[in-house]
Amino acid sequence: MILSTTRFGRLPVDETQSIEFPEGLPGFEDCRRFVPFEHAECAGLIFLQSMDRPDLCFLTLPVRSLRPDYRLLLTPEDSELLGLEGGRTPQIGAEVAAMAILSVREGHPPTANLLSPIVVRVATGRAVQAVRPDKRYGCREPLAPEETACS
Amino acid sequence: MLIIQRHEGQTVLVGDDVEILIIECAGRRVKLGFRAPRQVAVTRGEVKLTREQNLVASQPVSPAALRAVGQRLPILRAGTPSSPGGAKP
Repeated sequence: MILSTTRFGRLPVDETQSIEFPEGLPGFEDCRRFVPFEHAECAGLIFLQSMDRPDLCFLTLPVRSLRPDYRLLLTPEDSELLGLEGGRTPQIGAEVAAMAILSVREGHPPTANLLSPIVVRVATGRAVQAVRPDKRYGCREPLAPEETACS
Repeated sequence: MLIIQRHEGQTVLVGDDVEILIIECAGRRVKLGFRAPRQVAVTRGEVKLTREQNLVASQPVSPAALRAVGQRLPILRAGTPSSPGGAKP
């Protein structure tokens, strides 16, 4: 299908690759369907374009490409939203993909939200922004672990 | 900040309509119950942080700023990580 977007204009997307957030994202509760894709504009980044709002497009990167040792921690509620039995936390890989939303502002170093990764169940396309119940990562982490956020 | 000590099973009232019940204290965790009108949103503090950060992240990014991100990332320079089911337009 062709998606009308603010950023990319008319964008051909594969609808079968779309992912669905049953409860939206915090601050964007009404935006449930997104389509992830890569674009020549910045190869390697994964753009997450809303199918409900043409002007909403998040920039993301796989959490493991930012922190190779990243491990998920899901609340029982998020686990249930993903349809995982027994409220368990899955491992990143064949079962779920995990991406961090980037914040890119001119004049500031870019940051990644590692507190609240987007977790997608690969088999079903169900997704949640899983806010961690611990304090291991923040929502404005530098892209490389050795950098400091204010460098 | 007002600080009140409570035991399990006791409650705290905020205004007339919001009741917080201390259900259980175990180790370093506290289980709380909330009774509040439907229009009062009860969320974890981290969810509020996430909402605020999502609003920042949703702002349009200039092509120059995007190029700057690419230059910062060795992983992007080195190659393309596989997209989780991402379609290539």
